[in-house]
Amino acid sequence: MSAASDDGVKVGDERTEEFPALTRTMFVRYAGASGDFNPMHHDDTIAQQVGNPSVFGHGMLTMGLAARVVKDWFGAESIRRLQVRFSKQVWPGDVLRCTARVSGEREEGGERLVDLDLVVENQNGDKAITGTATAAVS
Amino acid sequence: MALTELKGRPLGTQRVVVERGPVRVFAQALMDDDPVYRGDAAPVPPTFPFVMPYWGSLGEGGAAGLPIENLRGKGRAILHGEQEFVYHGGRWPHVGDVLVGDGVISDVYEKERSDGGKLEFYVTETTWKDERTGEPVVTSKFTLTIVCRPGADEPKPLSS
Repeated sequence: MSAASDDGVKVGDERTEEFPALTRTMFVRYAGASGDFNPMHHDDTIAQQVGNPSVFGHGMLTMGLAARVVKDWFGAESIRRLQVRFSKQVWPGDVLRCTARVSGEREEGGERLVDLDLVVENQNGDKAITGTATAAVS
Repeated sequence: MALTELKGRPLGTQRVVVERGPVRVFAQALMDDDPVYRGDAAPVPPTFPFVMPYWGSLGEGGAAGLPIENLRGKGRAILHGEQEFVYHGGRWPHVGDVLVGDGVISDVYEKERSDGGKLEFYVTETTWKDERTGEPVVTSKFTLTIVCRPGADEPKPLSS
């Protein structure tokens, strides 16, 4: 089980997950799993017609990977809030590093909560998304 | 001017069933082979609520979207700018749940850009509740951002 509850977390702690280089197959798989068949994500011909170098990944695929870091750290049912801003597209070949960093701790509704800052960066350090999350620590 | 009169407009009600196969397929698409996503009562991956209407719709009800044709125009780039989920009270969504979601256009606003253009924001919110108990389970908040270059078209007025 990856549902690793950790009662010892403190402000400043962080976890990073790096994912394999993005491929068109990953985008197609996400399209099928999400129902988002915008051709910008699977059809190079159409993506290039409107000025893109190639297809690019779904923002929600990147958000899903960012959420994985929090879920793998605190557990599959731990997240109480998850918020991101999409700032840059992701492309085939990009290697995404998703980092969650504890920014605060508090109690609310009888739960111990940690607040987290999230960032997903590509291999050049460009931020694809930034965000915040709150997770319950069991 | 952004179409601020849309604020508060209801988008209708959707009813979904959370099914086992789609949850596993969705987890795989996020390269997540955690066995927690394989059971008959598996929790859903955190961003699964975004795709529930696609997988789970029973063909009943259904939600309207933003009036996207009114928002298109010259010099207007339409983006999924932000996304938020609030999971209520630790009542995580699971395979087998029947959820009813009410949608609303919760906010419309704009901001100036330093280049003389502006940003328009259209926020829709759907709160999913357990059909049986009425408990709120998860709220999904979607922000459409429109980057308007200086001199870009204004949105087309609503007809009604």
